[in-house]
Amino acid sequence: MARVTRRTVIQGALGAAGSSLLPWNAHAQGKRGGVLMVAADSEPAHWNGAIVASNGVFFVSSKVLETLADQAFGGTGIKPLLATAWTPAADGKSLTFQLRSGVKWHDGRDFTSADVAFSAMEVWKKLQNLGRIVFKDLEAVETPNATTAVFRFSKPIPSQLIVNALPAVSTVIPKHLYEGTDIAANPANLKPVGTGPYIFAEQKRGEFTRLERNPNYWAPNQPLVDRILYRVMADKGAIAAAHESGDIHLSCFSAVSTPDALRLGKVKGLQVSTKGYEGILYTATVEINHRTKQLADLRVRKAIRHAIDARLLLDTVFNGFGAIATGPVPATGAPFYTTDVPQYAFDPLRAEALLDEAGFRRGADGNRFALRILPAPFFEQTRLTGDYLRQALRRIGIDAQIQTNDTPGHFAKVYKDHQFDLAIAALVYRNDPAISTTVLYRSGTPAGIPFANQYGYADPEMDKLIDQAASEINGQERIKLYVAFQKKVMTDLPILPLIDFPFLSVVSEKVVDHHNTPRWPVSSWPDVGLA
Amino acid sequence: MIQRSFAERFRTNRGALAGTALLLLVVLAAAAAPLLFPGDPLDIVGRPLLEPFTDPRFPLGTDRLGRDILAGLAHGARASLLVGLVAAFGAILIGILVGAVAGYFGGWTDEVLMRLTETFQTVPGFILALALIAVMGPGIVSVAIAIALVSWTGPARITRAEFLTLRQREFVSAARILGLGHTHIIFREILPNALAPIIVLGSVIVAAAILIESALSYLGLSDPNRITWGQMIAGGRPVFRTAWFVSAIPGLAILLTVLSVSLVGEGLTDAANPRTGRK
Amino acid sequence: MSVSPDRGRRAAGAVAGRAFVLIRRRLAQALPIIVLVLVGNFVLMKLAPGDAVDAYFASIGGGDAGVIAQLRAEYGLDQSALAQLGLYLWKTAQLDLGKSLLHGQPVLTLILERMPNTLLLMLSGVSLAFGLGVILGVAAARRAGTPADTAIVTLGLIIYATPGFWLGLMLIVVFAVKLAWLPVSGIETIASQMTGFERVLDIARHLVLPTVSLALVYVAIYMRLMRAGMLEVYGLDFVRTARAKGLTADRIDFRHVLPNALLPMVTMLGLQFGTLLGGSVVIESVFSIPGIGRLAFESVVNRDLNTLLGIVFMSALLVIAVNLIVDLLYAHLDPRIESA
Repeated sequence: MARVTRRTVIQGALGAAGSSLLPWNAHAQGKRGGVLMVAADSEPAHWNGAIVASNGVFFVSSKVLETLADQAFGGTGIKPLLATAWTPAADGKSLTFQLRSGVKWHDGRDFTSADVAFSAMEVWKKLQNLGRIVFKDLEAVETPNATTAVFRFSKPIPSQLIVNALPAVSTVIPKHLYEGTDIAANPANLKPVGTGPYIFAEQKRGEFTRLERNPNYWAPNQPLVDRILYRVMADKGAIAAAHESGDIHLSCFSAVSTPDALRLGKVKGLQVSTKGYEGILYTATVEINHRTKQLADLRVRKAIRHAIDARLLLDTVFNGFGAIATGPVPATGAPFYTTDVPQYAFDPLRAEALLDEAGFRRGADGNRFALRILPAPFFEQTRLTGDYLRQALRRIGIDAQIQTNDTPGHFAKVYKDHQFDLAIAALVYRNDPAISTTVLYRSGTPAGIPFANQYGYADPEMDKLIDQAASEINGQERIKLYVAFQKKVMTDLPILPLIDFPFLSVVSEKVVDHHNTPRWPVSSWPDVGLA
Repeated sequence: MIQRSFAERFRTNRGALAGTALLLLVVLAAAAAPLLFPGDPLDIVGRPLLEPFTDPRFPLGTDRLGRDILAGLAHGARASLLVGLVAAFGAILIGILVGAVAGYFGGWTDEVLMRLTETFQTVPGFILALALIAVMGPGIVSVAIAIALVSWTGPARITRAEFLTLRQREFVSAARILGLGHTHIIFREILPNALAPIIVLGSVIVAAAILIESALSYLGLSDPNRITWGQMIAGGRPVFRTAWFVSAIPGLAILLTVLSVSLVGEGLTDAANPRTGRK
Repeated sequence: MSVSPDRGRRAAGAVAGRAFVLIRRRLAQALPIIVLVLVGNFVLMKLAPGDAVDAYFASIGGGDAGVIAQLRAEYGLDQSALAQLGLYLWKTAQLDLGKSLLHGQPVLTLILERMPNTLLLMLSGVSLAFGLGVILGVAAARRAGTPADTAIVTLGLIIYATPGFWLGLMLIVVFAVKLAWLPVSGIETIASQMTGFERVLDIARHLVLPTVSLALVYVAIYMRLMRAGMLEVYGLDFVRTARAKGLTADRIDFRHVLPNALLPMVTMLGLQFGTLLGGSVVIESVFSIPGIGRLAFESVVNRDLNTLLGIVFMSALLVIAVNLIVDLLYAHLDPRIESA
């Protein structure tokens, strides 16, 4: 099957929509002042990105609370933020961070290595959803002086993994406000105090969140805008209309539906693109419950993959924004990404033959067996993919029925009680397979942990491969192991990655210097301005 | 004044006739949907967001995924009518039971049942329906049950009022003296005499049930494997700036269906009570 | 129907006394209802799969078993259902509605914060429905049997058949997007720092479309009631007497018929209030209005048990309070009515 790279597909789709879409207009110069109006389509329970490393929290919190480093286009892909440099020890058991000096918290106290040590040991390692895995072997953080933090691990750790994880897992919170308190219930979680370019001013639930310019930000002459206002708008249609009326400047994470985005791209004064999401790419994936007897059979899983016309899916549900997934690592996942894996073309006849071969013949009513599909309810893309999968499976004689649940119901049924046959998820790839990807394939996850292997899939060879890669400190060897991992995934098909898709942003042309990092919507926006 | 027959009065009511014709059309569409539009109305069959009257294959256009809107309308009529009728039937049944028992026995029974009725009237019905569906899981059956459970108080109150008057009547005393059981007196003696106003209320409940169903499925709480009009409106919502027709067309279908039910109900009421009708 | 000053004073004293009895009686009746409401909803939410802790960990993308169990214990979710219910009733009695897991704030704060928006929407909705309903109803009744009457009655039926949420969407397309006359959503311009009259005007502009979407169904209902009420009063003896006395049609309609026909409408206001509150769930969703209706929907979707129970409790209280006010109003308007 011919492979299409993500870039050509995205450019193709945008090209069709209008040539003004790419690249971002960068001719105008941002000036000081102005209020940046941003649409927010959801409100997390709190803004402590050190506890909850999720894009929904970061969208606001990353402007207030900074990380040690962030992703960048070019170079090593990682740029300094609160840390200015990092050096791994030769034995792989420690990593030394040089911290920025002269940084102050918004309440006027000095930012020091003690804050980093406290955040790492008390929050990232103990409480954070991703940090619990990344920092599980972190033993201590030493602070020889105010601007040096030494992370000591109990066994050799690939520094590549830690550094790749920094943008998501290293939100630093002030020790003087959190020490000795119940961190999860600290009032500062609702009104964060950070070091970032913007100060958290007020939040009115269901209405807006207001950030004000930090006049004492450590980077000279930044930030530019006086205020950022996140306006809570739950309705995609209303957000699109607000873009047209000029009520808002910016919306991210496909807050407008893709067809609306394509139309907005042609509206004068508005721009639409997928740039700025390279580091937080999602993969629409069919999750498979191997406890269902038919699905334990590799031939059935292969048949399901052959029944899916990924091209049609990409064109209808995703309106061309994205690329057909070739495996568990997206094409932007260099240096780990490989194309040398088995591929499965759209071939319903082959699918039916495989099902016959597996012994599941069509019955009198034309059906072979019935399956439940549970699409994740929180993304338009997963819901619509579920609708398509139902149709595709019915064609090959599988009586597929959609079961919708609210968010807690979905999590309970798929990740805790395993009451599903197929589920549709959008799984995020975070720059390194060890952060949030291999956990989908490693066996032994206790029930109840979402976005992990709750699929009843257990393969000793796979487990060995994943464990080896997780403690391999030689970068080249790690890459080789992850290439083998990708091959193994596409041979066993424990779950089916279908479409790698970026989210869309809609931006007014008044906004300058935006979407200039690979995870821009969740970065700190020190340079964004209004022309 | 010469009393015309019920049928005659209904027949000369233009509104009622128009309503009947409209309702027949909806029923016909619902009945013929599998013949006119074989196959699953949820299948992707064409290019997404085709405008109405541009492609003869899809006279009313296609939705966000490329499904035929006309086929969706026809199949959606089945869900709307089914839920409307079943829920109204359930509501009336519960209402009659509660109202009859309360009105017939009076005293403590009445007190307790009326408190229960008041409780159901106090909690905003739609919020209660949301909670019920959240518990039962979304689906056409739970939607019907939820609507029935929030719509029975009207029929209960009317039934109770009728029973309170009727139980004083001589024929009831006579039945008691004859030693007939409570069940017999309630269902055989009193109920047939109390039924007329309850049935008239029926059309109002059917109309309301169709509207509640559309709102619930708009909020994403109906069966995703079965197309409904509310769901079609919701499906068009994210794109309503680009393709407003995706939401507008099923909304019109709801409007016309509810209107036809109301018109028929109106006609029935007027025909049943010639003096309280229009003057 | 003039009242002499002397009679008025005596009546006022009697009304005050009756009002007291009425309030006491209504409150006594309300108590078992409130308890029933709480018990019923608690049972419902217990029957649902997944609890608030599941929802919380879903929102943050997972957590380990120890932390999950700890949080369950903290919220009392590990105790027996009966103990949890007892705890809830006891806390509710002290107006402690617990904390929302989804929003991390006390439920009462959340509700009170959003209540003004909902009340504003209700008030403008009821005013529009009542006002327009009375005007149309009177207009139709005075022309009963003419084509104008038929037109108004038919319009009423069409309005009644229109789903409010759909009407809202269509109004947004026409008035907010195509014509750009009115704002698309929200309750006021966010953080505009407008004050005084400017702010009132801004909120009013935001309220136009949601109010119309919410109220239109009730316009139809009140219009029908008003029309029927007028026609009924027309048939009463005193109207015939007034006609025989040669009073003008306007005088008869507005001084004699209208006040009498309005009374049952006041009762209707109270009865419809709960329905109106339910209707605001969808309307607040369509227009992104941060009121308790949208909060209720978000709570069901996210299974935020405490918040939903709190909303049910508070909305039941609200409905009871509104009905009490309506009863008092009624007793005041028509001293003949017994407080039954």
